[in-house]
Amino acid sequence: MFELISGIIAFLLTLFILSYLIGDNFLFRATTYIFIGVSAGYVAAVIWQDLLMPQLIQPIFIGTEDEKIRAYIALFLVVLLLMKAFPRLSKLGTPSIALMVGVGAAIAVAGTVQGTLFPQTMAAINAFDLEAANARGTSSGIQFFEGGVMLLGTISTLIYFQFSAKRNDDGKYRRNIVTNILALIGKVFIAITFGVLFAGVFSAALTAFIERLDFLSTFIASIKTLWLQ
Amino acid sequence: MDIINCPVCGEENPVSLEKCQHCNQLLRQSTSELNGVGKLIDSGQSPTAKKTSELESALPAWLKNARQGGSQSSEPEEKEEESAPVPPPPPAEEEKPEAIIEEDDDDDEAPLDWLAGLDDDEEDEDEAEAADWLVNLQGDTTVPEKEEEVELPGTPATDEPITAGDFPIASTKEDTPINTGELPDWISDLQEKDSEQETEALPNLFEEEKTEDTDDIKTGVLPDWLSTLSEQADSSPPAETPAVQPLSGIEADDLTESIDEDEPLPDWMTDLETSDSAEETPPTTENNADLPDWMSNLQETESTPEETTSTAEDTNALADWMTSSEDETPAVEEKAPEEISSSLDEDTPDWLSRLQVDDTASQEAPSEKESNADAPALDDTFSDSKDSATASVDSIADWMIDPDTGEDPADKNVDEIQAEATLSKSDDLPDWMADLKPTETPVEEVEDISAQDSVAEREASSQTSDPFALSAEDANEEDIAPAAKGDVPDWLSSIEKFTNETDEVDAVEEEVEKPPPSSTNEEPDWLDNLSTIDANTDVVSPSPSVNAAFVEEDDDVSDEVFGIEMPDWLSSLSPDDVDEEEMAEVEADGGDGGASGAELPSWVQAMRPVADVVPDSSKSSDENIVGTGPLAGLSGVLPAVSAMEQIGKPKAHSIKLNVSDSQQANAALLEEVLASEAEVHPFLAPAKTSSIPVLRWVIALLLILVLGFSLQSQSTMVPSPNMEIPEIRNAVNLVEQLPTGGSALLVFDYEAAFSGEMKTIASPLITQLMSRGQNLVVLSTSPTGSALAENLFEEIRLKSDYEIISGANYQSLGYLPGGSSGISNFISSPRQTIGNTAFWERESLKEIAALSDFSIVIILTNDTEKGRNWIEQKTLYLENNEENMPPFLMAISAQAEPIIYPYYASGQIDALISGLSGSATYEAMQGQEGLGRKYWDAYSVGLLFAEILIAIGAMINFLVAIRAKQKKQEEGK
Repeated sequence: MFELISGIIAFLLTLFILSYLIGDNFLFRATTYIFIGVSAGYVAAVIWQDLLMPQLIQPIFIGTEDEKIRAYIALFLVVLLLMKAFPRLSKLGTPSIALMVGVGAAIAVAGTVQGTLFPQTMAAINAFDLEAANARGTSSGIQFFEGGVMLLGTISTLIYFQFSAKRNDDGKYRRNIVTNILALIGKVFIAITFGVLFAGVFSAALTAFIERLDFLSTFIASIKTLWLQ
Repeated sequence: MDIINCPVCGEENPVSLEKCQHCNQLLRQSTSELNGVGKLIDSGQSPTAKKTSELESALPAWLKNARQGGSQSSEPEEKEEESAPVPPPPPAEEEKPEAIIEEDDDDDEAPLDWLAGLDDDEEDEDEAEAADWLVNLQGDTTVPEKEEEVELPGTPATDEPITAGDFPIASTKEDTPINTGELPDWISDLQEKDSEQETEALPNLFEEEKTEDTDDIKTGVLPDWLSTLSEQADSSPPAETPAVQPLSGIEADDLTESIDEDEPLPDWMTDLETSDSAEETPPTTENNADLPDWMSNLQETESTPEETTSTAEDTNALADWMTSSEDETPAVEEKAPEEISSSLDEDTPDWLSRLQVDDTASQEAPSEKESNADAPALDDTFSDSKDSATASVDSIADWMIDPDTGEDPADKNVDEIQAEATLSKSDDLPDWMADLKPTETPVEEVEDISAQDSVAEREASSQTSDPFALSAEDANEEDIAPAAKGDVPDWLSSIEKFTNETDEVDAVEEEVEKPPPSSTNEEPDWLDNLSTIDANTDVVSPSPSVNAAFVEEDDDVSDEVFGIEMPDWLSSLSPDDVDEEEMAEVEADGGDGGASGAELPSWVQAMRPVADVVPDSSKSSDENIVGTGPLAGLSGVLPAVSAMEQIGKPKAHSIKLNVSDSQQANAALLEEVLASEAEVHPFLAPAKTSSIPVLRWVIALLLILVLGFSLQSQSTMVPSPNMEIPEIRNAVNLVEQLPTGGSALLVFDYEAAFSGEMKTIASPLITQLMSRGQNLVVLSTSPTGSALAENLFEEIRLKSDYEIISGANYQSLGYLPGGSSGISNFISSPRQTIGNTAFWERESLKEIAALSDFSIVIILTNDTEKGRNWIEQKTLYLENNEENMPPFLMAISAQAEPIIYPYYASGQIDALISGLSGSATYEAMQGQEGLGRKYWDAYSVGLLFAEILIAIGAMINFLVAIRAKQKKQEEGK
C-alpha cells in the first residue's frame, strides 16, 4: 500500500512536471516547490544527522578532550558564521567565511593545477608516444593521426580564444592569416565539442525521459493489474 | 560784454559760457583737456618733433587769454593771425631766429608778452588758482637785472669744463626748511633727505648743470634771475658765498671712487652721470627709457652748449619745441638773458630752478666743462637749463609765441615786461604774478614798491613755510628789505651772489681754478651729493652717492628740506634694491616697466608745450580736474585710476581648439551615434508568438509516441551495443577482478533529476559488485545522495535477486561536507573525516583505515565538477603519497562524458561508464539484460527521432534563409 501511494504521488508529480509542455502552470510550480521543500527538509535532516550531531554535538558531550577542543573551535566558528544573519554583527562572521574560502580555494587550486592542468597537458603531449600506442596495440599511423588531430584541435582552439590583433589601415582589428586559419579550425573543434556536449545533455535528458515514460507505463500497468485483480 | 575765443574753433563766445556755442567744447580748458593734441610721453622716450604751431588750438584758455591780452597792443600783422580760427604759431625754424635777432636790440623793451597777457587777464581762473609752487617759481625766476652783465660776448663756457674738484660753494647760513606744500611729495622728500646729508657729495649731474649754466653766463645768455643773483654775488667773494654746500673736492673724489667701486647705480642715475661725462659714455636711449622724463630732462639740461648743438642734429625725434629751440641756439645766444631766464623758469619747477641757481655757482669748475665739451649727445631737460641760449629756445615753444604779435614772448625786453607787469599789477593779479613782477623790475622805483609788497606778502607767507617764494628782492640785495632777506635761504642767497660773479669771465675762470670751500657751505645735502657726483666727470660707472642722495634712509631729514614726502617708487629705490638683474629685466621689458608714461609727473607735462604733452583729452574727464593746489584747473595731470586700470592687459586666450585625430574620430563617431538616435526608424511590430506552442507540442507528442511505442513494443528492434569500448571493458575487468568480500566505495554524487539515467548506469555495475560479494560503502558529497542510494538499492532489490540490506552488505557513511576539502580529507583519512565511530565499528568497515583499504572506488555523478574534484584530489593525494590506490571507476551521466573522458584518456581514472549507451554496453559485455537494454530501443529511436527532427529543422531553417535572401535580392532589384 505504501508503495502504491508513493507510486501514485510519483506518477502525479511526474505528470505535473510534464505539464510544462503546455506551459508554465500551477501544477508544475507546485511540484517544483514541493521538490524544493522536501529537498531542503531532507538536507536539514541529513545535516543534523550526519554532520552536526556526530561531529559537533556528540564530541562536546561525549567526545574526548581532543574532540571537544575541535568541537568548541568548530562551534565558535559556527556561532560567528551565524552572526552573518544579523547586519550589525555580520562582520563577526567574516573570519569563518575567510577560513572556509581560504582553505577551499587553496585546495581547489592545488587540485586543479596538479590534478587537471599538468596531467592533461602531459596527456596531450603523450598523444605522439607511438611506443606506448604500439604497446596498447594501436598502429603508429592511427596514433600519429589521433595525436595530430588532438594537437591541432588543442592549438586551434587555444588560438581561437586569442583575440589580440593588429589594427589595419581601415581601422579594423584583424588577425593575420595564419592565426585566422588556425582560429577557424579551432572554431570547428569548438563546435564539435559543443555538439558533443549537446549530445550528452540530450542523451541524458532522453534517458531520463525514457525512464519517466517507463515509470509511467509501468505504474499504469501495475494500476491496471491491481484494478483487474 | 567780454568775449572769449574758443580754444578749439576760435569762435567768439561770451565769457559767461563754459562751453563754446559753436563746437560745444570747453572754453576754459586746461592743457590736459585738449583733445587729440598729443599723447603721453613715456619716460625715456624722446619727444617727437612736431610743429606745435598746429596745436595752437590746444592752448588752454587762460594762456590764450593771456596772449590775447598781450596782443591788444600788437601790430596789425598779429591781428591777421588772430582772425584765423586756430591761430597757428609761425614755424619756429624759420621765423623765430629772425625775430629773436631783431628783438635782441630791443631787449630792454622785451617783456614776456604771454606773461603780460596773464597779468591783463583778470578773469582767468588759472591765475586765481595759482599755487604756491608757482609763486615759488616766480621767486626763483629772479629778475634779470642787467642784460649787459649776461651778454658777455666771447666767453664760451664750454671751454672750461667742471672738474671733479669743483664744487659749489656752500652757504654759510643754514638752510631753512623748504615747505613746498604744493610740490610733489617725492620732490619734498628729496629735498629733505638731501638737506640732512650735508657731508655727502653733490651729484655730478647737478654740478654739471651748474657748469653749463656758467657757460651760459659766459656766453652772455645768463638768465635774468641768474644775473640778479650775480649782482648779489658781486658784493661778496664767491668763495664766501657759495650757493650750495658741497663737500671738499677730496671728499667728493673719495666718495665718488668708493661709489664706483662698491655700489651699483640705477640706470636712470647712471644716465644722469653718463650724460655728464658725455665724452666717455654717450647717453643711450635704453637708459633713458628707464628714466622718467623729468629726469631725462635733467640730464639734457646738464649738457653743454656744444652738446646741445650736436644733439640738435642727431636727435631728429625731438619735439618741435625741442628741435626748434636747438636750432635757434645761435640766435638765442644773442638774446637778452632776461628773456631766457624767464622762459627757462617757466619750464622748470622751482626746485630745478634752484638747481640752476646752484649750477651757476659751480662755474668754479671749468675743467669739468672741458671734459664735457665734446659730449656727443645731451639729454633733454638739462639742455634746456644749462645754457640760456639753448634754454631760451627750448623753453619758448611755439605755443608760447604770442599769436597776435607773432613774436616770441622771450623776445620782449625786460622793460616791456616790467612795464606790463607794473600795469597789470592790480588786485586781481595772482600772488605769484605779484611776486614775479618785482623780480623783473629791480631797477625802477615802481618795481621796488611792488617788490616790497611781494616781500611783505612773502613774509606773511613765510610763516606758512614757503621758502621757495623768493621774490626779486632776494636777488637784488639793494632792494630787498631786511625782513625779506631773512626769508631767503642762505644757500640761495649765496647762489645769487656767486652768480653775479659770472659776469666777468676772467673772474669766473679764476673761481673755477680755485678749490671750492667746503667748511662754510650750508647748501642742502642733496645738492651737495649731486654736485659731488657731477664733479667727477671721469667716472662713468653709476655713482651710489647719487642713490644715497635720493634714497637715504633718513627720510625725516629730507622731508625737512623739501617739505613733502617722497613717492613710494622713489623711496623704495635704492642701490641695494635695484640690482643688476632687476635692471636687466627692466631693460628686457623695454625699459618702461617701472616708469611708464602715465607716471610722468603731471606738473612736468603741464609745463611742457601743450602740443607735445597733452594726453588724449578724450580719456580725461571732469572728474580728473584738480580743484586745488598748483595744478588747479588742470585735468588729467595726475595719474588717475584709469591709468592704473591700463596696467594689465587682458590675458589673451587662444580660441583654437587642438583636437587630435583620435579625438576627431571619436567625435565623428559620437555624431554618428547621435544622428542615428535622431533618425526615425519604422516601427516593426514583433512577430506574434502563438500562445499555444504547437510545434513544441507536436515534437513532444511525437517523441512520446515514438518512445512509448519503443518501450512498450519490447521488440529489440535495435540490437544491443556490441562494440568493444576500452573504458567499459576496463570497468568490467576491474569489477570482475575485485576480491570477494571487499569493500567497494560508492560515491553517490548525482542529483535526483538524473536519478533515472544514473540508475540505468549504476544498476548493472552494482549488480556485478553484489555478485562479487562486495560490501557496499555509500558516501555522498550531496545531502540527497544517501536517499538516492537507498532508492537505487531498493529498485535493484526489486528487479534482481540480490538482497541489499543496510548494515549487512552495504553501509552508508552519509553526507561528506566541505566540497573539495572534504574530499581531500576523506581521501587522506576516511575515519577522521567521517568521525562517526559507530560506522567504523561495523564488521564491514573495521578493516577500513584508509582509502587504499577499499577494493574499488566508484564515483557515480552527473556533475562534472564533482567528478573532477574527486579525480583531482585523488591525483593530488597519489603524487604526495606512495600509497597504493584502489581502482578508480567512474559511472557518469552522458552529459559529463565530454569533460570526464579526457581524465580517462590521461590515465587518471581506470574505467569509465557513461550514459545509457555505456550501461547497455556494460550489460552486453556481462551478458546481462537490464535497464540498459530495456531502454536501448527507446533510446535509439529517440536519438534517431531527435536526429531527424534536428535535420528537418536545420533544413527548414536553411530553406527559410534562402528564401529570405531571395526576397532581399528581389526587393533589391
